[in-house]
Amino acid sequence: MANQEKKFYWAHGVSREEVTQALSDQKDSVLYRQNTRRSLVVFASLSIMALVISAFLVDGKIQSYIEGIAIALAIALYFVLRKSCRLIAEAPAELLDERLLDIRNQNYVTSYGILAFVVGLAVGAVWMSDIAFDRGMLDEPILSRELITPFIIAFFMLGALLPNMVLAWNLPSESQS
Amino acid sequence: MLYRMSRQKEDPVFNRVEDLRTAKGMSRQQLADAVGVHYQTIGYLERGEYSPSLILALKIAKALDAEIPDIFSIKPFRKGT
Repeated sequence: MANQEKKFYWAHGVSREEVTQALSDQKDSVLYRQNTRRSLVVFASLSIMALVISAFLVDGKIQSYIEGIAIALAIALYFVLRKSCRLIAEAPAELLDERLLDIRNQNYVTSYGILAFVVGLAVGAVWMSDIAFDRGMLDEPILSRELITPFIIAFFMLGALLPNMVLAWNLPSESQS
Repeated sequence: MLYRMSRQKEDPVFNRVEDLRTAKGMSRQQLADAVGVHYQTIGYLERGEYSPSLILALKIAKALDAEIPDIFSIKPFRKGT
């Protein structure tokens, strides 16, 4: 029994114990209010955008600082968003009831759609800039390491954060009554 | 887009879960534990914001020691029933 509680779901990155604790928490936390959740989503979006914008900064020192702050903020917000969503996005199916499973599955469909749209935009932008470089409209190709690295990091951050961002935006405030 | 909790918004399911639960002296947590769902699911169910699956409805009926037609209906229950 003790071993079951300590079971770690490697594919999900969570343990049974932490999911059970997160789901059964009945404290009236500010993290479970919709306004708070949506504010966290806005901050997470801004940190990802800051990382993307930093790619275009000429000053290397300022770029490094902004990149570092944006990444640190995104990582911190990832854990806070996870907690505010009660680990629903990460939980394996066996630990969720039918209602939470419905919510999680709807959430992933929406997240996948958003990510596919972003990937489409990114691929389109790279393709068009490649054409523009071939035609002499750009001085250098967009796929230079300095320019592409922040984009790649931002993309991975978006991938990690998106399920909890979508979930946090859509979950209603929780009533403890 | 808030998550639509009811399975079919156009066909609401009315229920007497709260009445029967409180008559048995059960808390939401106790009923949730008995049927194996999150305590908030019982809350959403009682407020009519979520319609249970058949298996969950059967489990609730067993936990409340009642028949499904006495607990769930597609028409509002009359007061006093």
